[in-house]
Amino acid sequence: MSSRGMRARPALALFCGLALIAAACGGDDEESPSTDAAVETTAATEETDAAPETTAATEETDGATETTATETTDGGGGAEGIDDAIHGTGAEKFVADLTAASASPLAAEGEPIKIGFQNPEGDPNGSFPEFSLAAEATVEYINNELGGLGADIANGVPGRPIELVVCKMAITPDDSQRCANELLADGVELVFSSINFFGNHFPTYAAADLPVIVITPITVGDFTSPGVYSIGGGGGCLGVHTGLVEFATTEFGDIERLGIPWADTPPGVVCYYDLEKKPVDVLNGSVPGDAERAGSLPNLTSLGVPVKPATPDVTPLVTEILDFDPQVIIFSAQGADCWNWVDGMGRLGWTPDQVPLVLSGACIDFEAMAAAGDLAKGIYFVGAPGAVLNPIDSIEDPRDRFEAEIYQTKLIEYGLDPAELNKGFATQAATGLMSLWSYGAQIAADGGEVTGAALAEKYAASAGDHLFGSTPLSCSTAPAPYVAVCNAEVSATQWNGEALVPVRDRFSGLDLVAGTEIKPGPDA
Amino acid sequence: MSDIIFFLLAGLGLGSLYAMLGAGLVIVYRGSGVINFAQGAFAMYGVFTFDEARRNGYLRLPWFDFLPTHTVNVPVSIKLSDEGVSTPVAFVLAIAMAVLIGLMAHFLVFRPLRSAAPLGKVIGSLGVMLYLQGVAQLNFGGTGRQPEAITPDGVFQNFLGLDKAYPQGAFWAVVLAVVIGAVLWLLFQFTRFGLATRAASSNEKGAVLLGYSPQLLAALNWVIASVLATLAAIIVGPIGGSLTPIGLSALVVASLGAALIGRLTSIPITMAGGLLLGAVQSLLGFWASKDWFPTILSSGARDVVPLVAIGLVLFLRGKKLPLRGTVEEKRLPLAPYPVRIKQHMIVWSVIVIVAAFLFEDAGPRSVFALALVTSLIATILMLSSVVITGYIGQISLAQLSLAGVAAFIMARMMADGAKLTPDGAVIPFPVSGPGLPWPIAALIGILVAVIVGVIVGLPAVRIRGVQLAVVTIAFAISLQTLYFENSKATGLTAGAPANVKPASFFGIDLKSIGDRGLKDRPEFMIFVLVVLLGAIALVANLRRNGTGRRFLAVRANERAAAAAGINVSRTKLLAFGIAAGIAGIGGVMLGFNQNDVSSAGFVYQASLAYLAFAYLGGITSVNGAIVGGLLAPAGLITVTGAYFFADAEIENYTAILGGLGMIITAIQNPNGIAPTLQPLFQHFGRWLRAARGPEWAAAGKRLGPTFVVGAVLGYLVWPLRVETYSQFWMPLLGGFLALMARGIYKQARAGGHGAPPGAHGAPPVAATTSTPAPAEVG
Amino acid sequence: MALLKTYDMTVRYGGLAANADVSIEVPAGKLVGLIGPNGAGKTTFIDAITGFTAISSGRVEFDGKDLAGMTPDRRAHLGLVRTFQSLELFEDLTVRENLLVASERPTWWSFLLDLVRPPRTSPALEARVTGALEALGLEGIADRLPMDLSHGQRKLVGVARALAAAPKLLLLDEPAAGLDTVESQLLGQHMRGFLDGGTTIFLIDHDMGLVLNVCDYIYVLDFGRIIAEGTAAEIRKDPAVIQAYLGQSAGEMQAQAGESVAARVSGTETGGATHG
Repeated sequence: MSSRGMRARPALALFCGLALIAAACGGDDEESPSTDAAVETTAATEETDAAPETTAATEETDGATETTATETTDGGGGAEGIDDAIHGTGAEKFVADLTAASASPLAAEGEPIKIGFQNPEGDPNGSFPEFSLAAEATVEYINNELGGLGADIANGVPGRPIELVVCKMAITPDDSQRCANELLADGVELVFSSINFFGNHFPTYAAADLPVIVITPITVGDFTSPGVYSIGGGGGCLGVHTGLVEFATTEFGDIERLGIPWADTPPGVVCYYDLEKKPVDVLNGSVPGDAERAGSLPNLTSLGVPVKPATPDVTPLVTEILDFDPQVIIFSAQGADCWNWVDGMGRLGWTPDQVPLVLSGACIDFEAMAAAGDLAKGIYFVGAPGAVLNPIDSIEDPRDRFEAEIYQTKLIEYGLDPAELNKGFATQAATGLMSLWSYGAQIAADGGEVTGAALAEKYAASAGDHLFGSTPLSCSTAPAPYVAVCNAEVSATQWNGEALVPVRDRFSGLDLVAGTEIKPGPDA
Repeated sequence: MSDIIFFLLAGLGLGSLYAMLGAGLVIVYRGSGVINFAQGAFAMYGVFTFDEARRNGYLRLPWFDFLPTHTVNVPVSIKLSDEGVSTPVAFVLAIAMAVLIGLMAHFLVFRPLRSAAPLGKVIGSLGVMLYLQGVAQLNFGGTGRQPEAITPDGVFQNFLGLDKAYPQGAFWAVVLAVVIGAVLWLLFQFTRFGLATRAASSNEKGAVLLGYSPQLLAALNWVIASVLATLAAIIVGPIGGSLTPIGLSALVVASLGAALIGRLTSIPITMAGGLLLGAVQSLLGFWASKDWFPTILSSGARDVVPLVAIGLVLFLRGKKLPLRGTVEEKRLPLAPYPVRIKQHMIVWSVIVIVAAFLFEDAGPRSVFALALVTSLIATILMLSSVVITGYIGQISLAQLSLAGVAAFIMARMMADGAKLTPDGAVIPFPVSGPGLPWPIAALIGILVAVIVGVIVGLPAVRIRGVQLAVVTIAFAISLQTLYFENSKATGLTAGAPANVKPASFFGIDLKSIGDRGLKDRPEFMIFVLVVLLGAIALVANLRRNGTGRRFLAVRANERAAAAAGINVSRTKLLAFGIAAGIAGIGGVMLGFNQNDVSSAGFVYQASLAYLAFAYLGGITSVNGAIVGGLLAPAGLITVTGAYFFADAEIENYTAILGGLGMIITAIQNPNGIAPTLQPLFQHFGRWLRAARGPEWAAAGKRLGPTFVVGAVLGYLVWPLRVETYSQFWMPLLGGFLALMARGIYKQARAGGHGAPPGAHGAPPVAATTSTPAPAEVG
Repeated sequence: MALLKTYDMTVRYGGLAANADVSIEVPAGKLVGLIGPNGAGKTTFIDAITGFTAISSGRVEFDGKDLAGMTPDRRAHLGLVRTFQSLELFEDLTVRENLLVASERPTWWSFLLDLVRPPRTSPALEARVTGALEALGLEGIADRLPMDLSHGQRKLVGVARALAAAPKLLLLDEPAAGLDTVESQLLGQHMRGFLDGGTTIFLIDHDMGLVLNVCDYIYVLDFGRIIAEGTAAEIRKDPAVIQAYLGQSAGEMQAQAGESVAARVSGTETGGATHG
């Protein structure tokens, strides 16, 4: 199940596809991974008029901080328009705390709490330094302004500083295990696993009953292992795939033909048959289900075409889909695979307004969208909302705008390189660490002692809790067997050439698969 | 029927890329006898240069700034213009970069390797691939970018009346590929250079006598191949998929298939083969989604095409596949007769057992326990390479896949369809299976690995050398898609990893994870040690008995072996079977160590890494496998390095350093580290046994001052490098470096006038026909 | 009964018939020679007999069995063992191991024993190997690698390797090439010694001195055809041989030189003059 479009890459040979992962998966999309990792940061492409600091780093940042500082003080004061019902429980307090903290920063004190961070870096088969860089910047921000873990900002009571222990691993099962062993030996209280293709680190953490927060879930272990909390928005293909079907069958009237290219990996097989094909069969009545829309589209048909990741030439597969003459095409993939598909469709004369295309949130990549030009104008994206990277003045929702300001200014202030800031994975790392902070604050508020176990309970008990830059967290409502999926709500946005315009907020397609058993394969 | 025709044509776009890369492989093989695994990497760097110049206006040279200072830097990035440069300029830059890379590859890597053994050339070309990928990762960043097409990118509506839209890009790619193929054919048929190259490829010595310099010819051929690779990638543009450092390398297998169809000699047949492969792959892609297509094949069909193509070529004209002899080809290093095996094993066992208990529950230091276990298991896997490549000279890149087969089969045999794990957690996708006890399950796993190993060995009956290596890669890839990723075959739905239940021995629980989660259980390490000692005994006995002698006879000279009554084909299959058995044992232990094995761990790239480290260690001796195991990724040496030099940001350079290490070893030290260290250890061992008080004092006097000076220097330097090296280790490191410098200085001075210590390297053997030398009498 | 018999054996490479209708007979216990100028098809003949090149027409019988379709290793098992003009020694094995490999006849399950038991060779095998080493005086260099030996020694190791296989018929392909007259006569004596051991020998060479002095019966091959056969005396005077060979005087002079040296050498104490 490719969470928010990120699906498992079981084979190292597929890692060349992995190295294509440009965009964040789920979480706060509109990330624009700058492709130029070389020291000279080129200006982000003109189209992404993201917040000023994306241009030359230094001088703009001070400029930006003054402006946003002034804005936040007056704008955020009343925290009006932020309502727990819409933005998740605890949203108001969260915004109020952050506003107070940026006015009078609270430094953390006391003995640091060790938090592990396992991240693949340096291996040409797959390297994502933006995860750890953003995490380190967020930890600096938390330790210097938000009083560390378990702080009570309202009364100025500091909590313990976070000590982030980063283990950089190569893309091999031995190295994934080495990191798990190393972090455990270092005595960390809780571990963040950014992205891992093997899942062989979970047994090590489980044996020491250490909670694991997975930032970008992709393997089946990320969705089903107990003691693991996948906070990547849309909870993998559970949220994204069902959301894609829900959106495609409602946004464009009663359609009859749905084209579904799907990522052909072992987990991808289940994601397609169980969470895309089955919902379509529920809608056309051929499979009984408890959804209220069951059977509402009797002549809805679909054509599934398997697309192996990193397939160089997709035009034959695109021809199959276009020959089906679909009214809507949905494709849940990640990184460059999405844009290789869009490019392939473009080469066969397709345009977004001819047949609407709905991609998964993991495909969002400002650079690639700019490069695709008009071919990308009009493409829909279904994934976790929270436009943390959108240009601040283009965001109406007060909470989104506030969180976008925090993300785009504070992280730069605490050492994150602007080239990394625009990357989707960076936003997800920030989401993970901020959620840790907010739960730490809640534990301290209830008088408890901030430990790994206490934090784990908070995650486990979460239901519709506010999550910085993403859909609300609700691990407790995760349906079996996807017990580790913490937020299956998604939202839809459309790329209009400059920014991602929200089309539909917080919805979920889970209901489509309600009352049906698992259908893991074609004939099963 | 029109669908079939259309989809065959639709595949020609990618087919033209296979064709041009395949032609490049033929040109390089004819030019210098090297199968260039780095051909995809050449194409990748060339097209990245083209794209970077057009998009950002930068030229990135293919190396990295290794000078630590910020003032004096090695020029890497050259800014040409603020936004991108024009397409023609970028095109010229890309071709110039291709010429540069071709020349660097020839003069810096393959010219020194011109008379190396085939394995040395394979390791050299893998080193170049890894180096280019590492540099591309550093210079262009790892995230993929969509290449822009330079050919007209429109669409032919209703192409040839098949009422389907056909991309113009593919049409132009095929046209240009055919044009380039014709030009190359003319070049090699009707020019003196072409004639000389073809002459040198069939008889290098003859060409030398005629006054041609094979090295100049080889250099020109490398440049042509490199330019061709870049040209292909640029022409094909988006059809080649998005640009990543390892993107195009994955296409090398299909292009190798095309090159083998052209028997590594004929460019037109190779290009036709490439186009055919692309077309068939596209057709299979179309059929795969049809319901009548067997679902067991549906996902793997495309990847199996190269293997089937190669298989057909082998059995149609296997015997006649030419082996390009060079003027004088060094042999694989000698496989020394294992001596004093018992003493070696006892010494190693004592060290490991002491380490096992030392590292248990030792806080941060307990990471060494897992590192040692990983090294011991890597040694078992490398012993299988010692048997199949060291003893009988067959280069196999499928050994790790065979280990994977053993691990997966064992897991399946152990599975009993349980819905809950022993400690009550829900298993989302239960795996059905006979639920056999671990010894039987392991045995079945190993036996299946042996059977698959013999099947992988079948082509070895007809082809040898580097061409066999290509076939084993194709096998490894097919095993990956047909078995590991195939839920029907493994019973593992949704890509769930295969769970391996821990072993136990008469009540002693041998699980690898300690009760506090750390992997530092001495019982497990000793279990791995015992299995390793068994594997070492197997290999040592093999070498010392008739079977091992027969392997070495076949490696030395297949003709003479046949004349001496050895059935060469059956002996090769026996070697593949035994090596697969040892790899199976390694796979079983890998399963026990990792508890959850996923198909991601057994891809052919991982086999490449293990073969490379086995080669670094010394491919022909048990000690070589031990040293190779220590060097393996996540092994003892890398973890120790990371532990003491924690903050040195070296992980961004691992691929580059790995590539360079392989190239340097292939050139400087083809025998590997173990044989060169062996005399040192023996000398030191003998001195240790003989030394008593006075000798120690003498040694102390001789070495003491140098060590102290080194230590003091280390301590003084420490503040400057505070962040990377810990204060406690710097003096020790300084002292050690001082001793090494003294040793090298002494050896250089001794080498000056004394006879250099007996080179243990493989002495050059006279060319096959030994010219009669005057007989010495008496 | 003839140990080896060929019936009109023809070997064709494209249009060229390297061997045309060659019919020869090697009686058991005899030392039969085959001489012919360079390029006469001698090596093609021995390759055809030992299965390395296919026979275009005709038959080869060895020890009463037709060898058609048999692989070289099957023929070696029957006792038809050859040496190579280019030696083709196993460079990666010591001299002793070269001989052990050539003389071992493993059963299909012996690899299982080899994997588990420490090094042990059967006494019979050991005896054959030591016998062959002593026969050619190579005990001193038994544990050295072929690449460390002189050319003469390598030649002897080649012969010893074939001898160690206790062959019924020993095919020697130009064993004297590269040896001076003294050494080749010494080798001739060795060969006579082997006959007593029950081995039949088929000697192929272009060194007239050696062949004419050592062989009981000689065939002469020229341009792929047998142009003469008979005892050494008949061959020496046969006009066709002289014509085809090196012209009248050269053939005669070489024969006489061989005779004088043989007389002198047999005067000194015999036994393998070690070439160490």
